[in-house]
Formats: sequence, C-alpha cells, structure tokens
Amino acid sequence: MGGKAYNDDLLVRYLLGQLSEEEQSQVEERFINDGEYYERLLIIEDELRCAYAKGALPPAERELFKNRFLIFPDERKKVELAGAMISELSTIALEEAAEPLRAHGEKRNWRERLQAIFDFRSAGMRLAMAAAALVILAAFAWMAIETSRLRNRVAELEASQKAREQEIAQQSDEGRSRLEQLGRELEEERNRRALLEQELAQMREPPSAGGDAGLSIVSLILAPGRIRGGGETKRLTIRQDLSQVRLLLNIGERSAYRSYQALILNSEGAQVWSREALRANKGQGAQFVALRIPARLLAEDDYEINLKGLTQTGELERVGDYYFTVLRTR
Amino acid sequence: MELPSQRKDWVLTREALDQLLEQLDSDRDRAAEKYEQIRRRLMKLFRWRGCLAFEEYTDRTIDRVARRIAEGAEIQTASPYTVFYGVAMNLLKEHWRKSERESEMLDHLIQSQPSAEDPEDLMAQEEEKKEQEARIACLRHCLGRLPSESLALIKKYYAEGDVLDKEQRKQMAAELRISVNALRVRAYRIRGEVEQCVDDCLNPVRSA
Repeated sequence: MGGKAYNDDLLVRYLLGQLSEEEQSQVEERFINDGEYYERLLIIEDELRCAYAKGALPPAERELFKNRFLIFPDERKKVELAGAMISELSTIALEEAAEPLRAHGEKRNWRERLQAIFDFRSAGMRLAMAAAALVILAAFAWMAIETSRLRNRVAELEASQKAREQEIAQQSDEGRSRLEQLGRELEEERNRRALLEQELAQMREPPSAGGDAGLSIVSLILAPGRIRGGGETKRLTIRQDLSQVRLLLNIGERSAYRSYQALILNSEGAQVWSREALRANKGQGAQFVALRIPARLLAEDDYEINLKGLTQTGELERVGDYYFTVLRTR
Repeated sequence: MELPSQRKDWVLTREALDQLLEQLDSDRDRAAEKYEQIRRRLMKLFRWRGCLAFEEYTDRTIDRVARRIAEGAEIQTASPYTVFYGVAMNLLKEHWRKSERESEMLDHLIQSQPSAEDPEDLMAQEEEKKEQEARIACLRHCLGRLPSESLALIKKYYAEGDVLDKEQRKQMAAELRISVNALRVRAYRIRGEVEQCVDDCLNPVRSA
C-alpha cells in the first residue's frame, strides 16, 4: 500500500452511498486511475462485509449496506461465506481457549490416582498418612471448588458460543428472507405458466398491432433479431387502459440454460426493466421465455430486449436480442 | 436519436479491439493487463453505483470507447482510464434519467405481489441448503489448509476483534510488529485465498 495516507472514513461513506455527487466523482476518478487506492477500497468493502456478517455494523450503516450491497446475488453469497468463516474462526478460538482448562482437569485425575496408590500402602504408612489426613481433606475441598469453578468457566464459554451461533443463524435468516423476497418476484411468472401454455396454443398468429379491447393484458411473440438473421421489428399498440404487457420470447426448440435474465432498454439505451431467474416454457414447436411488464413502464419508443442464459456452471451467456416498437393509443 | 438497431450495428471487432489495446499501451501484454484492470474497475464502479446490469454497462462502456477509437478518435489524456470513466458516467446518467421513476414503480409492484408456495421454489430452497452445507464443508477444509500464522492472524482479526475498530487494529499490528496497513492488506489477502479455495473446492472442474 506504499504508506500512502487514505481517508478511510470518506471511502466508507462512498461505499455506503453517503457522499455528494461531487465527492463520489472525486473518489471514482481516483480509484479508476490509482491501483493502490482501488485496492484500499476493496479492503474496506471486505471489512464492511465482514462487519455486517458479524453483526458489528451500527443499525444505520447496516441498513445502508443491506440496500447497497445485498441487491447482488453474488454479494449475498459472499456475505454468507464471510459469516460462516467468522463463525468457524470463533469456534476454533473457543476450542483453543478451552484447551488449558481441559489440561487442568486431567492434572486433577493424576492427583487422584496418586492418592489411590498411597491408600494401598502398609499400616505404618497409613498411620503416617493419617497425620496428613487433614491436608488431604483440605486438598479435596480445594479441588471440589476448583472443579466447580472450571465447570462454570466451560459453561460460560459454551453459552458464549451458543450466543454466537444464534447470532450467525439470525444473519442467515436475513439472507434467506432476502432470497425469499426475490423468489416472490418470480411467483407471478410461474403461477401463470399454465395459462401461458394455453395462450401459446391459441396464438397461431402473433396478435394484431392493436391491443385487445376489454383485456387488461396484451401479448406479443418475439423472435430473436440478431442471431437468427434479423427478425422484423414488431409493433405493439398499448391502449391506455391496459395494465400489463406480456412478451413471449421465442428461444428455439430447446432450452439449454438453468434460467434466463432479461433486460429491456429503450432507444436511448436506458434500462427500463429487468428480471432474473426466468424459466423457459414449452409452447407449440418452440420454447418461450415469458416477460410480464407493467404497461405504464413502456412509453412510445423503440425497445430492445437482451436475453441471457445462466449455464450449468453459473456463467451468463447471451441468448439473443429482441426488438419491438411501442405505440400508444387512447 | 440513436436507435437500438443502429447502435447494435456496431460490434466490437478484432480490429477495433486491437486499436483499443494499441491506445492503451504499445506493449501488447501490458495493454491486455490494462484492459483487464479497466474492466474490473468499471464493473466495481457500476456495482458501487447500484447498477444491477453492471456487466452489461461495463461492456457498453468499453464498446463505446473502442467505437470512438475505430472512428478515428485518439486518447489524448495522460491516463486512458479517465476516458473510460467519462463514458461510464454518461451511460450511468442516461440510465438514471430514464429509469429512476420507473424503478420506484416497479419496486412498489414487486412488494405488492402476493406470496404462494411453489414446488420449484421449494426445490430451489432445498438446493440452496445443500449448496450451503457443501460451502461450509469446503470452508472448513480450506481453513484447515492455511498456514498456522495465517489462521492465527485472521482468527484474531475477524473473529476475536472488531474489524472496524481502529484501536484494536493498532494494538494487533504492534503485537505483530507490522504497520496497520500491512495488517489490513495481509488479512484481506488471506481472506481472498480462503474464498478462492472455497470456490475451487465447490467447482473442481472449473478450477482444474
């Protein structure tokens, strides 16, 4: 790190999104150009991650971290792993702390064994030993007290370990609840699967450019525009009273991916909508990925959809690009 | 206005990539290294700015710079990184201008969706649980492989202390007779090794 001075507080606030736009730009311009500064940011990011996983961030910063970092699935896994690592390290530390106590206990047994040997000596020796009876009794009393103290210490350590495990479990619960929230995002698509298949069977022709009067949903089947040699740009007319738009992306005969990720961009390249963990559904002679988009998000414009597939090894691959134009009517 | 089809007509060709690398450094290997650095930092930039499609935006930033170079522009500044940053910020601004209001509406929509049990969800949860168990087993294996000094350092740094406590860091660095910076870098790199080891353990084929 070359002994350079860094303002760590500033970097923490940058990562938690607490800086003004101007300050953010200053930090960014510097880390884009300066490798050491960039590494410092990575270190602070990781320290925040570990502090979050350990439950050591103050509530306000914890909330900021959650909203800023845990929106990324891979980040959630990193936090989980950090939490598991800290838990494992705590267990190792506790075991090491308990080790001298155990050794102490073993020493006591050795003393007991010695006393047993003395008990089997001659009568003369026993008489001599009787003189030391008080001392032995005192030793027993001391050992009983010491044993009790050690037991209490071990119990304390165990209680502390349990508390730590509960804390980690609570953090895992938070991660799980976030996953559940994401899972709920998919439910709407999945619950409609049966309905979609019925509709696909009926859709021998793509729907007309005009939205179906009286329905709150309008559907459109799209073929990929780039990888299949340039499909035509379809037009979708959205009536003002329509609430949902359903786009069925034709992905060919076979789905080779675990799931799909779709990103809709408008003509200026701005992201309008995106969704992950989409599944392919079987239609007539082809498979489709269904997107259900609130109609109000689609203004009159040209749009493209980037569809990517998640491979079995977790890589994202481009599946195809789809184009459509939205027209609005009353 | 640039339509998607027009924009999409331009793709990063081998020639354009070569021109971009040439502008980054006349030495091919150093240029490739700089390209990777730029890519990594741009991805972090988009992530730290909360852009979910950070990979997409990184590619688009690089494509835009490459296109400009292919069209005859030259990187004039002392640091080529600054050019990429400028383009990335333009893309981010376009992204925010259009999507801020819509994403709020979408968030609202997502939150209002009803919940229901889905067998596939349950299966996915089950898979996630198994993956988690495998991850813990790998983690134990990887911690067990660490040299004892490394294990002792991260145990003290992450488990026994407060990672954000400056005083504790100072004390620990003094005990180890190293600077606080060196301590933080060392702890961070050991953690990186553990993460990499867990990743390799979970994906033995990919790491082979």
